[in-house]
Amino acid sequence: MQPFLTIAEAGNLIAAKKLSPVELTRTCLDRVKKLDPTLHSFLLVTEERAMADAKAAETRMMAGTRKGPLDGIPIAHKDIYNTAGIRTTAHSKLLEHNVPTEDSVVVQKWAEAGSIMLGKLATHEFAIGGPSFDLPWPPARNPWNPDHFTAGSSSGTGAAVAAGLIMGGTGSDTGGSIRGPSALCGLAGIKPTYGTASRRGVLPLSQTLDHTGPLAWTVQDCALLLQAMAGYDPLDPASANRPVANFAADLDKGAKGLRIGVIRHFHEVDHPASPATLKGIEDALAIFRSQGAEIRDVTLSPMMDYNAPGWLILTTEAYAVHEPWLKERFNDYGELLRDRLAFGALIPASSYVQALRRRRALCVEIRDAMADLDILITASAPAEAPRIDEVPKWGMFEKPSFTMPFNVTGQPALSVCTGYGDGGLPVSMQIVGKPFADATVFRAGHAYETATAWRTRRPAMSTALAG
Amino acid sequence: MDKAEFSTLVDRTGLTLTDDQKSTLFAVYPKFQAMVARATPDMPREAEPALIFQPEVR
Repeated sequence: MQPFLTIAEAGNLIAAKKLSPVELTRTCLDRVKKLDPTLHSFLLVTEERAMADAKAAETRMMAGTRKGPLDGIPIAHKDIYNTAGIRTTAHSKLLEHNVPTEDSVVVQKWAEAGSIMLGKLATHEFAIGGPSFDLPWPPARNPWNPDHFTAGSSSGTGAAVAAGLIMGGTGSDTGGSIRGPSALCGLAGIKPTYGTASRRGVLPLSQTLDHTGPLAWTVQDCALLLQAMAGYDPLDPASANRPVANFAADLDKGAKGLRIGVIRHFHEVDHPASPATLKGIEDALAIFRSQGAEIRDVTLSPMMDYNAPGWLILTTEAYAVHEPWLKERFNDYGELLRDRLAFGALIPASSYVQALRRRRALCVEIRDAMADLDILITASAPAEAPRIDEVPKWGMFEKPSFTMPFNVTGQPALSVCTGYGDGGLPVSMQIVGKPFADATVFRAGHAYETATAWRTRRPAMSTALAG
Repeated sequence: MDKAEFSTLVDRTGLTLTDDQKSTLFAVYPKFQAMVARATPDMPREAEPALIFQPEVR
């Protein structure tokens, strides 16, 4: 069986004709067969198509007509991304037999880049209701310990990438659904700037907060994946009409000269993080400082002040999306989704507009706070993953999320692994940039990641399989 | 708001919930109200909502 490779490593080997896309794809499919009965990360495996695509990639490799860094790379898509002729369920009974006729824009772009789609990945129901045990498929499990939560809603992507079943995958992020699974599964995952990658053909949750983006093992791989999914889409009303940045351009510049703000009160006061998470952040700051970065603390409004309008906007918009089904088929949804979204019916229209007005004020607050800064640092998650059966249904009312503030502001935000806690599961930090400065976020993430050894450790179940 | 008033409020939305489902929501309704209040502080009369994009990025 092939060793674990990053997308960048595999791409270089394929380009040099030293790695067969067919063998690489077969290795990943074998891992799916052996590990996914425990992980439940896939809702559907498209083996026949994957092998056909891998053979085509191998033909291009041998002919010297490789399309680029993703050609021959095994990936999979969160099951809210439409795939033509392939079931797309949102992990819900309501779409159990839904077969779209067109690919979403991102699925199409990754296919055109030569990636090999292995199938469709578990999600929380319609990207909000999870982890649920009353849906047609079970929830995904964390490869670092299958009794534990992956976070969501890109739960299957997080589990599959961490276990080495795929080398990267799509996620969506409305309140943290890329960065949460990245954090708890020990990956890199970016919510790019709002409008960077098209949402067309992705089942909506809350249109003004929804972002599409990638999860992968490394920051560099995320940059490669985002490069292939970004770009103006005139048919996505939120798509930014501007040139696509070169996300990998600054990867090797290190942290020298970066001006870093630490939102210390977010992870020390507003939602106190675990000792391992705090240590990971402090160690990262020491690395940045040693490379020549300037670091100072930043004070913003309390984190819950960002979460409250974010939650209100999300719940109202999601209710609007689902209202017809909620009225006609309430009990066909899982309990978590239907109870959470029912509150959307009780929010006055004026409160929604007031939350949007508050949102603008918060965007201005962070813009001003970052006037002389390049990035912000805080946690991505408070601690290691909890047990999957101990995830609170109403957690959003109890403690603020570290990720929601940057859905509210639309800024790019990247989660990177900063080590492992007492339970052996990953901990993480979040790197936040200015709007459309995603390349700077990647630069900082790569500078940190390559200065540590965390990327050499894989879940035990995966390394045991590799022998 | 008592449980009966909450039940009426839910019924007016057009959702068809069982008494148990209403009880589940009613139990966390105070937290819901607190969240709505926190999301909607007093704002200056001239405060604009978000999502009015700059023309050059559209």
